[in-house]
Amino acid sequence: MKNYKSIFDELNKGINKVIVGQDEAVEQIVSAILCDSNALLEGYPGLAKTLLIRTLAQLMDLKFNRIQNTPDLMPSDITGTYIIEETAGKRGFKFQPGPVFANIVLADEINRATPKTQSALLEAMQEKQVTVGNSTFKLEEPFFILATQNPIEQEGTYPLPEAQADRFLLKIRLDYPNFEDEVKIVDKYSAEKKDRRLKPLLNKKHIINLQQLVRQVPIANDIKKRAVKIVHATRSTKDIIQYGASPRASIGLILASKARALMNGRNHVSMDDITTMAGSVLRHRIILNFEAGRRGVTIEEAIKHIVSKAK
Amino acid sequence: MVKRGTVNRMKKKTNRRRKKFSVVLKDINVLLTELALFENLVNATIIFLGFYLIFSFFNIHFIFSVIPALVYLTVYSIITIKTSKEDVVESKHDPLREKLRTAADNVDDVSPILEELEYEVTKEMKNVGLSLFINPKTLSYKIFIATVLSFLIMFSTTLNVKFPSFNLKKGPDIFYDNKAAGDFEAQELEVSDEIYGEDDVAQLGNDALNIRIKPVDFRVSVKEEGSFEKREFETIFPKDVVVKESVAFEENIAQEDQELVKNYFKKLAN
Repeated sequence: MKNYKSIFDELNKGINKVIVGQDEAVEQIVSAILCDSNALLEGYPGLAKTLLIRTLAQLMDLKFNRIQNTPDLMPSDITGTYIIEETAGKRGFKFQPGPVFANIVLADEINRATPKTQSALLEAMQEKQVTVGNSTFKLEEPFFILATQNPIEQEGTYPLPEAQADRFLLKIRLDYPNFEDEVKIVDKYSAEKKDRRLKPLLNKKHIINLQQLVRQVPIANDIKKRAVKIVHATRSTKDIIQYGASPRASIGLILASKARALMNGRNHVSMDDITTMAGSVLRHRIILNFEAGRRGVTIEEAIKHIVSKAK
Repeated sequence: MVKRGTVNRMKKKTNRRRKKFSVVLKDINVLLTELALFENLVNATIIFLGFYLIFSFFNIHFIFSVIPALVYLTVYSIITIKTSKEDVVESKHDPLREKLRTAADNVDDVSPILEELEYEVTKEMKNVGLSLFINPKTLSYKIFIATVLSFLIMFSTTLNVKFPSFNLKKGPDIFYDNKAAGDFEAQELEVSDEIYGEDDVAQLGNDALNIRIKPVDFRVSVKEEGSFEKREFETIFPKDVVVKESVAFEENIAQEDQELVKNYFKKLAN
């Protein structure tokens, strides 16, 4: 397990050469990749979301594509479409793959795309394949979508329906860096422009192996039960929660905790993994009721309350 | 391609490892159960002796002091058996926290990570001493208390220390030795309310007796009764009653023994 820890330490070092002060978010994004799932990133503009993902793709030697979602974006703009191609005087249709055909896809401001386009993207996430016309195209593994949302400027957006948000394993919050980190960022990026091309540390095969290994991390029965109890509590805490998380959240919480354990070089899941990952697993899966709104209870506070209650 | 022999060797190795780890878990379980039961037994003994001493002051039968001790032993034995021994070990030895129970819960699974975990746990178990689960100081205190209580019981019994004003004597009579205590209950004297007996018993021969039994507080007044009538009494013993030698009392005693007894009684008479 120490070998695995050194891999992730190296990965973090590589990311820290480019990104400053987003360690928690980095850990959670890598967890989502290791769980073979997708993540929703919420943060204000200018927090290096795209740079973070691009850096990760470089370090993992993965193909990276970015989709800037707008209301006029069509599903075919994401999935790809058939184009007419003329070869040897013969005209025929040829499939032109869209940006979704990559290993890591950054779907920027997913809530700006129309529901039709969103669902095309979410189908790719879930099925890991794309259907255009009568043909189905498998997406290359590993496949990871990181969708971003802007917490401000909600006018003219199409918020993700709960059923579609549930398909993201984690909702990761990116916060503004603290003063010291911001000074470092300014120093790093206001000096002369350097080519920050990073040397890959992992490859596709490594990542697929790590994804298989994550599922083998053992977990004690009482820790597993605690995770389920936390998710179950979101459905039974009726005083502040209108809709709780689905059993998919229980699976997600266990998997994310296993990934965190592996990244920290542990050969077992600890209670701390569950507590740490509960926030990002449940954040987008619960809806607070009017009473919670009246009392000024936030989602984070509600999750903390549930986690402490489920002990 | 991996050869079949290599696969079989790996399988055998995994099975050996699993067996070894199962034995480790079983040993932990048995050892900790025995230790906990021993501690429960010591505590139950102290409870018994304590109650025995207190009850002896109030003349309550000793059998009642067994009850709290038995209740304690039963309840705590059930708790001991139900308690996860892995949790107990983890609470005493921090490096094994969460590891031991994870390995124990997944003992039937096979994965390289689990193998590594089991190896780590087995290695770390060597650092877990028995002294972690027995506190010699506490145990010594308990044994000392039990000894003191035993001596107190001995002295109080010898000196017959009692609190007479609290002579409760609670509980069923079967626990009390009435004769030894010098108390004679009414039942033993066989006093009955039916002091007059049955009518048909009051007969002599075939003639019914004309007896009128007066109440207990009846007083005979000579003035009220007047002069008595003089009456001649006849012998009413039946004439045909004869005395015969009974064979039932004959015993097959040797002649010389008969002589010996005869001489003995003669000697006594003189």
